Amino acid sequence: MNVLTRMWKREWPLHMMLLPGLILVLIFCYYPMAGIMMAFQKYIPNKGLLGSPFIGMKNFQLLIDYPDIGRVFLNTIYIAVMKIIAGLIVPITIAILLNELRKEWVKRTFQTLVYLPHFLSWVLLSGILVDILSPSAGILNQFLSIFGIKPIFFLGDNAWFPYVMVISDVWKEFGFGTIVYLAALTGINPSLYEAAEIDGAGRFKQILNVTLPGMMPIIILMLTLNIGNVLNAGFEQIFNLYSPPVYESADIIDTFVYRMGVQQAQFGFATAVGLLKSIVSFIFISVSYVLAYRIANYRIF
Amino acid sequence: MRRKSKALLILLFVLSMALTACGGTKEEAQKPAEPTKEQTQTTETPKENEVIEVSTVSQSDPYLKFDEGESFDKNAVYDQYEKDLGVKITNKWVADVTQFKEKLKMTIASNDIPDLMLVSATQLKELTEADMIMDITDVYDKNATDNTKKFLTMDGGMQMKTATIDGKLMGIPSSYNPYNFQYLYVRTDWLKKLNLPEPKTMQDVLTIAEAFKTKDPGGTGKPYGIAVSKEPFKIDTGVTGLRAFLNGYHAYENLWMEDASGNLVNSDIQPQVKDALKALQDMFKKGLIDPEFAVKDTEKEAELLYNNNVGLVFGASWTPAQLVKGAVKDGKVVQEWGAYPIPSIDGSPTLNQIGIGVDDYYVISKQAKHPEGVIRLLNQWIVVDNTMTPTDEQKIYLYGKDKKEKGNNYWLLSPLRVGKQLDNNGEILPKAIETKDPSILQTADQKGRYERAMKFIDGSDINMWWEPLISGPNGAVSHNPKILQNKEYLQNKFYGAPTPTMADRQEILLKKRDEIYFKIIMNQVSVDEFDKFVGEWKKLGGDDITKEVNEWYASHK
Repeated sequence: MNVLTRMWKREWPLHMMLLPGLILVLIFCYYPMAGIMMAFQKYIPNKGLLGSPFIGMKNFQLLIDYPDIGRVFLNTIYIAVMKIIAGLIVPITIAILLNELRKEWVKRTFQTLVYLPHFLSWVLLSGILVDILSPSAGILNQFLSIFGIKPIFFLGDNAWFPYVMVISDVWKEFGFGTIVYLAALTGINPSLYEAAEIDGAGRFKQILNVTLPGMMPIIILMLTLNIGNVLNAGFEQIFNLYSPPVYESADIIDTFVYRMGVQQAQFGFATAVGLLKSIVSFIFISVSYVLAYRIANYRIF
Repeated sequence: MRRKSKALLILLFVLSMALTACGGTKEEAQKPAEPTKEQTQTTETPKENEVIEVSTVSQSDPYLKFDEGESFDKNAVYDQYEKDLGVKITNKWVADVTQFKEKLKMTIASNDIPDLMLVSATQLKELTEADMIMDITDVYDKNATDNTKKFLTMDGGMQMKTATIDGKLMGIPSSYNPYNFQYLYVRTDWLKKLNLPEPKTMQDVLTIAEAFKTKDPGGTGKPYGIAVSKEPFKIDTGVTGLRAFLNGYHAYENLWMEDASGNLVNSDIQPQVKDALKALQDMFKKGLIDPEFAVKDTEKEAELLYNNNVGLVFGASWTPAQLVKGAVKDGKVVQEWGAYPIPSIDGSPTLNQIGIGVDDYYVISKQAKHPEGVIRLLNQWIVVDNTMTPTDEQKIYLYGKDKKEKGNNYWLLSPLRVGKQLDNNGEILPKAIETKDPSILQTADQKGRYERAMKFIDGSDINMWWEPLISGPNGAVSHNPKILQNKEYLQNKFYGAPTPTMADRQEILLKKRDEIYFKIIMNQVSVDEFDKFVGEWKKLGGDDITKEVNEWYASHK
């Protein structure tokens, strides 16, 4: 007891410093959760959360009745999973390759260059992509035509659209991931490389046996965090690039919610879908957390 | 001692955080109030002792150009309203035309609406049910002038009726003339060059499109037959749409029409649509349609028109105002266009699909302190917009403080604008312009159009090229008298607020429709998929909607 009082006396200013952050979290993260109620209401803005009539599970019923709901969920997961995998492999590879570079300025320049697209918005990029991928005038198709390949309408073809989404997203974001992994690389003890060299390991063997295991905790951390995003396939990107002919492969939960919730002003319905998404994401993230602990003996929290 | 000072420092830090947070909100709250104070002190109000404030939200428009030093916060038009009516207009926010509707939805969702705003028919119903807007029956009755009341019931009161819910007037229809037709625009210089006849039938249109594609009269190397953009069926798409094309095949876009037994049916699932889609698919196969149309908006697709790739497009009467960007270059007319009525695929004439002349409504918030101010704005707008000989003060409303037409479109600043429900521009204007006789003009709109057309004809302003193509002897509206006389139009028979199932399912049905229409046009699926779509449409709520619409129809006959 005495010890506790003494500790409190000594440390209370530190606890006070925590307070503003705590208040912000309460206001902006916990307080809005009350809005989940909207999922079970026919929400009317003027009457607010407490005044709007409750309609039970009708919003969820409407969701199940929606004819293409299976396709929408599949598209979301398909695109998101590909994005997670590609978004893991590409930055790790680039980070390792950059790490092998001798000249510091080349490494830094490259790092900055690939990081730049991260700051561009999809509104802007979609305009550029439409031009680049255009079958009649786009550079990509002109390049392909050199090899005698017929123009491909990347943004209007259901077979291509998801891949275009994945590749363009990876291109935009891999710079950011690369920086994270490069930071992880600097944390590896150099004496391990020396020991490996003495044991006769070449450059490639060193990467395989020293670098990769050294990065493992960060890789698992990133993967676990990303799995929570498995139902976020990237609203901004798809919304700016999709069109009726590719609804079949491009319509994701978020674009669907946008059309129903914002355009049709069905707030309760949109919240219901959002809630469902959160629940699924929560399950995924819990499972991946347990798996990370069981398999790699790694805990985030 | 040291520990104490550290604790003090922390406390200070926390306090300062809290203080800055408060400061921020305070500042924001004060902002809108400040200019009011200034205004009430400096301006005199002739009609009323007190200046009343009406808040609204506005769309910034690419066609609106401000005089130097003016903005949505302060401009000659708002000042003039305040001077003449004692009504001070403030904007809660201003958004770009493309963002406005989205932002408005957010504003409604967050229950933070301005005194006056322009909403859709769906929103009118929602806001009424949510009890967010005012029943303006009495306010309108008391404050609207006889002139205003007459002006808004020119169509026999139909449009006002659509704004009336359960006997209460809930909004002012943003009315316009419902007889707004679409036309076919063709490069006449190319027709001459290739020795082709003017389009009289839909087959002619196909022939011309094919000739424009194969002979490439623009010499671009990348010709197409017809310009189509990514939202061809949307009512907002005034140029580069396909509604008119459907009409030529006696098919219509999301229109409720009577079948043989007098019941209402939806046009989207009628067999004529299949014929039109088949024709479009054939055109697509022949390369007559830009294969990328599905990702190009109107402006982007219109570049093909400006750059001589395409010489055929369907559009509203104002299409020439869009075409002028390519037609007049460096002070010279480089493209010749002609306006034609929509041809028909067979012997029976094309019926232009039209609405009822009102899509949006001006509504007043239940919280508004001065609804009478809104009606005063309405009275004033109708007077100013319709006078043949505007006084100096009235010119400010239209042109800004120097009272001269400079193409600034200052009329867009008026927060409440209603248009004439009937016009006879098609009767009067072509005649007046042909004979150069302004004495037969009847309205301010006609006078403005006549003057603009004359500027082009006498050579003083070549940029007015578009006006004769709209209003001149062979312009778009010159076809109207015949269309009206022969009743070659089909009006939507359903004008109520969305029915319950419609509110739930409309979005789904339209999305399904767009998907299947696009796929057929782009030759990704066979045209027979249309039959499958019809079945799905019915199953997905279409049948229920039809039932509800017919119940509504029975009670409104």
